[in-house]
Amino acid sequence: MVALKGKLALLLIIAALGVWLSVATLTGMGLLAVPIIVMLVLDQGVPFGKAEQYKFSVSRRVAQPKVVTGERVLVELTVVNQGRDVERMVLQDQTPSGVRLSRGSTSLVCALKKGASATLRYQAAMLDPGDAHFGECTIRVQSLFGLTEQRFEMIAPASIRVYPRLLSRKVLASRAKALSFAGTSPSKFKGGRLEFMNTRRHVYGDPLRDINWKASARLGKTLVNEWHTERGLDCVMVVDFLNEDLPKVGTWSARTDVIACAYELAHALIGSGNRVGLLVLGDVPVRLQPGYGSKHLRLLLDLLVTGQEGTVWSATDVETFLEKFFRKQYRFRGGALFFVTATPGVNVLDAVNSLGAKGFSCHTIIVNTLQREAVALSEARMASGTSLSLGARVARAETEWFESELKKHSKVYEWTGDSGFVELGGAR
Amino acid sequence: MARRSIAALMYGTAGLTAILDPTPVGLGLAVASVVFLTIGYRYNADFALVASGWLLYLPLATIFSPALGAFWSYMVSGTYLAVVTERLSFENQLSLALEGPSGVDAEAKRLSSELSSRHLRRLTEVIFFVFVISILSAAVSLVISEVDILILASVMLFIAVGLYARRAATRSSGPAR
Repeated sequence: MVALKGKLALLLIIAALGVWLSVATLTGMGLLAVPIIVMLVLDQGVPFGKAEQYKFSVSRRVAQPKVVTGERVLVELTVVNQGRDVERMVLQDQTPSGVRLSRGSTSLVCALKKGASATLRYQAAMLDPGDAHFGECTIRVQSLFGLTEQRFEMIAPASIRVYPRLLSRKVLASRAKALSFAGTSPSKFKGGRLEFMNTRRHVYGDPLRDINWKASARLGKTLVNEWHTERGLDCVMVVDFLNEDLPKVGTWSARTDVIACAYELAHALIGSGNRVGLLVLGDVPVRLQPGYGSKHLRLLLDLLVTGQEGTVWSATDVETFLEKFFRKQYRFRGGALFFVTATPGVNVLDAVNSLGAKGFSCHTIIVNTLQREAVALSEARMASGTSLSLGARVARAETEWFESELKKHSKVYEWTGDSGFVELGGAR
Repeated sequence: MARRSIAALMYGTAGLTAILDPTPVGLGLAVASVVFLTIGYRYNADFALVASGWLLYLPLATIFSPALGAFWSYMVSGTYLAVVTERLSFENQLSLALEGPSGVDAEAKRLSSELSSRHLRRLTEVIFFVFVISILSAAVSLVISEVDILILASVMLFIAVGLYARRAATRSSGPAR
């Protein structure tokens, strides 16, 4: 349906006012109506002429379907005119949340002949891990002077999966060791190098890297080092995507940091030979049985980034999940639970206490997002100065109380994007 | 950039009318025009940009009238303001698409500049038709009383431009490319 723009109404009012004043004052003041009417007629053409309908098709292309956070992606939105000639058209694309425009524009103004096409290109930076779904765009067909307009809502779907960037630390292995991960399941990595045992004579088939060159030179015979067999641990990460535990300010959400932390933890655990499983609490229950290797890590990461925030599955359901999907024997294999949460609530505390009392080895990783939250609050102008520092103190005090309670049944760590994991103590 | 130049032209026009027509009405209208122009420019409001232009109509016509006479001063100032405000409003919309965070796609720029030259051509046509109608009206007014000019102009306007628009509409609906 053709809509008349406010500009047209204003021009008609000015013309009418001019003509009225002209008649009232018997002057030529109303001559201003002449250019206005000329513009109107040239813009609208023949008022009763039968014209062909407007018809468009749109398609979208994204340069990479999988990216890491912060990476820029080229998005192309092509519109093809399948109807009559368009004198002036505004193509406006809508970007999903968690996407920031980094180059170009999301709108295109052009004329489009029948059968011709135009492409809107822009680069968008992906901010949050997850699936970014592009879809809706708007085409506004206007007359050349923009006095009338027709609006078309179109759908051009495309998805980009955004993965968290793995934060590179200098001492990855030592951090894994610091978390004292050692279990009863034999590690996939034979001949681990955590604990030195002895030296012995070299036999055919021993890897070259195990040769102790100094000892061999000293004693005049080829000796190799022996290590204790490394034991892997059955670990289950419980990632808290519950709405009440994920702070949000405007477009900022702690979800990004929670995913980054869980990814780094999973990477460290798998990298040091442990088996890692996953449970995501939120809208839809996400579960993955413990497994080894980089393929498993990729699968885990996919589940992590597609995890939906919500309120349906809370920490009280963890035990049910463990029993259902990992069987009761899991408890006797010396497995460990890693709760990853941004703001530990009563829910998590109850679950940790209950599972800890039942013999599970619990670890709680608190993702410290207070600083980022303060920045987001400040940017959104929702808080500043004294209120911001007071809010930060209250939040810190609340977290500390939960930390002290959690320490009774679990080891507690704090994670920040800058410094990684820091042990805060607690029960073993 | 063009948007800024046209806005500067509008500010200049407002300043000039304030200097050359220092009556309370003239000054008031010039100030109101500057206020509307600033709002329209700052907040990309088409409505305010168009209003800012037309507020200068009377003072501008007053300035032109000693040199051009009443009839031509109204026609010239009306045409000038219609064209300039329309162009400013157009450039305003174009700038929203072209002034991205950094850089703009070459194709988008080309398509926009094509549209811009089409718009400019259409504005030239507006000026041409207004001029033709003015000449004819002035000629007719030599034999008919002045009050009839307006009605006559409107009738002639509809006939002339309607015919042109019909021809243009027929010409543009060609086969698909």
